[in-house]
Amino acid sequence: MNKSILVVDDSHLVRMYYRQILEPEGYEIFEAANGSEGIEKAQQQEFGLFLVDINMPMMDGLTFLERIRDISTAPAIVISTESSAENEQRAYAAGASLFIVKPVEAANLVGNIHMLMGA
Amino acid sequence: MPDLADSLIDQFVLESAESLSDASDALLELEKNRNDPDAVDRLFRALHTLKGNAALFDLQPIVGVAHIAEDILDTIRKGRQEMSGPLADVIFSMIDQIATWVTAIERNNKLPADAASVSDELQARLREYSLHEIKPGPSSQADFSWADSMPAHAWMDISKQGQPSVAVLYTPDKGCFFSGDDPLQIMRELPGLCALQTSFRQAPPSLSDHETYTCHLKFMALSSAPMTEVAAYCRDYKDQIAIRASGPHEAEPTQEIQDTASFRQIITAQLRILELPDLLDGSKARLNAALQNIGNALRYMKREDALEQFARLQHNITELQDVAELRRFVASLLDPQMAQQAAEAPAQQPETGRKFLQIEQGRIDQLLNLISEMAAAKNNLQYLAERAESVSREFAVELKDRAALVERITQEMQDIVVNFRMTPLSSIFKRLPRLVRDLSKELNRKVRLTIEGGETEADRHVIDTLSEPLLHMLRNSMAHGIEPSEERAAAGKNPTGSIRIKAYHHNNQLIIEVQDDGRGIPAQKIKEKAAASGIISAEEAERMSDADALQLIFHSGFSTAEQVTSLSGRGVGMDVVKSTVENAGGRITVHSEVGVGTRFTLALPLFIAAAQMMTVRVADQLFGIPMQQVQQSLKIPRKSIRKIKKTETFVYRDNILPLLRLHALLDIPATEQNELAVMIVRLHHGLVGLAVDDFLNPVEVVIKPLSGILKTVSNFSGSALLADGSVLLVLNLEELMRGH
Repeated sequence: MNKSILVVDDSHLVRMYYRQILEPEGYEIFEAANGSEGIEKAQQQEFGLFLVDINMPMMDGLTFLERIRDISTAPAIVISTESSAENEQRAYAAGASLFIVKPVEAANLVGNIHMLMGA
Repeated sequence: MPDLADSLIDQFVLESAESLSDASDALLELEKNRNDPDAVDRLFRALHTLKGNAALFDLQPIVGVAHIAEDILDTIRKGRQEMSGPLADVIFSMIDQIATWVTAIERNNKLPADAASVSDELQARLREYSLHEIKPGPSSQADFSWADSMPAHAWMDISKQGQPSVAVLYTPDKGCFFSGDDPLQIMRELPGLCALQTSFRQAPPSLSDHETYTCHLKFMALSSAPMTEVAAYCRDYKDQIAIRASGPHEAEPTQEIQDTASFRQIITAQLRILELPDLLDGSKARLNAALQNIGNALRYMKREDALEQFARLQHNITELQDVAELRRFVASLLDPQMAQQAAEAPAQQPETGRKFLQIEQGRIDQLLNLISEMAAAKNNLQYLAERAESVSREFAVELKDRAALVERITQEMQDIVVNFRMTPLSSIFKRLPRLVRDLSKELNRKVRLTIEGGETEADRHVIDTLSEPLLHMLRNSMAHGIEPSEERAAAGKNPTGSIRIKAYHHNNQLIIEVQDDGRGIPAQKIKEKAAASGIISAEEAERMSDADALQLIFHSGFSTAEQVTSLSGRGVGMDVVKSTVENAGGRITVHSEVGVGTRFTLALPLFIAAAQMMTVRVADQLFGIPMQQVQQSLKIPRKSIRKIKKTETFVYRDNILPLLRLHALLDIPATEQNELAVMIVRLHHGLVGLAVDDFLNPVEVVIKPLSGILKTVSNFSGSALLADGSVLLVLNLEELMRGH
């Protein structure tokens, strides 16, 4: 099973946080600071899962999702600060697999990732 | 603030300081140049990052103020309002305030105690500049003191719900009833609900001031579900519901609760994806990703039952209706009752690989009837497709495709259901040893019975047909084939006779052999007997081979002409055996060697073709028309019948069809009616209307070839026995309408 996860978030803190939660669970974490960087990395390597922020400079999360669905069917979790049915709907339409609103509870995130990756 | 690694806090402080400094710079820039889009953008982004980071750790006071500021900046960015001096002042105070809080976090790992109330004040000041009506969020200081002292009567069945870990305070909008909310229902469906209590939000209004349609209540609830699940549930009422971890009971959710929450969260999300209207457009990546996710979640939860069903459903999804079916299945996964059943099922049936269901035979037959009807209905589709050719080639091709699909499915269904009726022969074989034992005593014969191939299967109808003849043959072998022990011993044979019954499949037929090692049948004596009874002439007897002579024992005249003797007894009832077997489409043959033994061989079809017949009535007689030939049955008024030359005609779907009257064809007196019952039947050369007196229900029957005098009448292709004992004659329409 591919246990590599690409975190696409413009906040260094957020990327660091996911790394701290997920590395002890045996996942290998890769980082991208925006959508276009994420696409670049995904073209070089196959990932088992994507953790994606919506609001990012350069290329936002929705565009990233649309592009990533051309090359991967791996689960993509969108983690957003904005909780609205509309945002959620747009994320699913773009290709997200799950929409989570911050704050992210570590145990819940880990549980969801285990299940999505079929671990 | 949750327990965090120092490195994360350091990073939070570092990034927040950066964002705050970026925000200050941009704001200063904006004060100089109020419409600098670049500065607005930088300010917006800095606050957004700040908000996102704070949200990660649930620092609500920071998130609350940053959210409103962000919203205001967005309207400025879109040119809907301008930055003003007073607004800049408020934002500066906010930046300062957040900086103070960040310092507090750096020192104490937590926000100061008054952060919530300070945030509320700031939010109120900011809100004055907001164009949107941002509803005041649930107060950061919502009173949760009730959570620890919830009165006992408010508790529900806690043993079932687990320990409460989340407190929920719901203050519905006063006009909530008008927006269609049902606050009580919303609370009752709260995940993991343990306790629920309601009270007036303020002192109750006096009765005279009371407005029935205004909600004056607030609801307080405790839940055992994980915080995330409760938060997700309350998301739509975010402005009215406040949630807190419930102090004394706060506990890590168990792995099981956590898994269930994750499962529901993921399945709910996949359901939303499956509801996307353009799911099948373009690339199927979204669908495929969702399918993978559902499969993974089911595997993780070890839902073998559901996985099996899912495997079937996810195969080959090309139509929206396939997605709809899949959606129903996925939705059913969220039904807690079903999940519970699924969880309990393995406990009850630990290791059953295959499950069996006892179904009444009649129901299977009913199903088969329906499938046959469907097969007939499908013929209409093909006809329609042919007709569509003249309208639109494209449409016709599509229709044909569909018709072919329906045909394939119907055939598969038929095969499956026919297989339901396959029964092992052991179901009739098991009666035989007892019969042999009883007959041995009665006839004073010593016989050893061997049965082979009891596991051989055949259609239930075939087996039912076989039961009586088999008993009869066995009885005959016992009575007339096997010699008494003394006689056998004298002939140098084993004093105990042997009867062997063997069943097997050969060339798609069911073969049953009944073999005894008795005295055999002397062909010469059969010939003599037959000639004496007038079944054959003396010359015929002379020329007849021994093998042919043996077959005479199946002749109806053979046994009935005889009183029962040890020899002629071989023929008793064998004519009945033969006709029963032949009516089921089978054959019976006999081989015999004098002194060595006799072998009867039955060859039967594995299935008895049970045909679907439309029954019609003319005068008092019922007739069957094979369903495959029936296009439609309809009533047409007498006046719409036109005579062209000598033939009566009528218009059916824009075509002129000849109308033939069954009573005339069969030479039965007619009854005059104003409205004719007409069966549209399909013959080789096209459609024809066949007028009858009445239609009856379709029936499923086993068609038997005609015997006796009817054999010579080509108007009928066979007969069938109806449930009430009456005989249905099956019309040979091609023959009947020849020359008309």
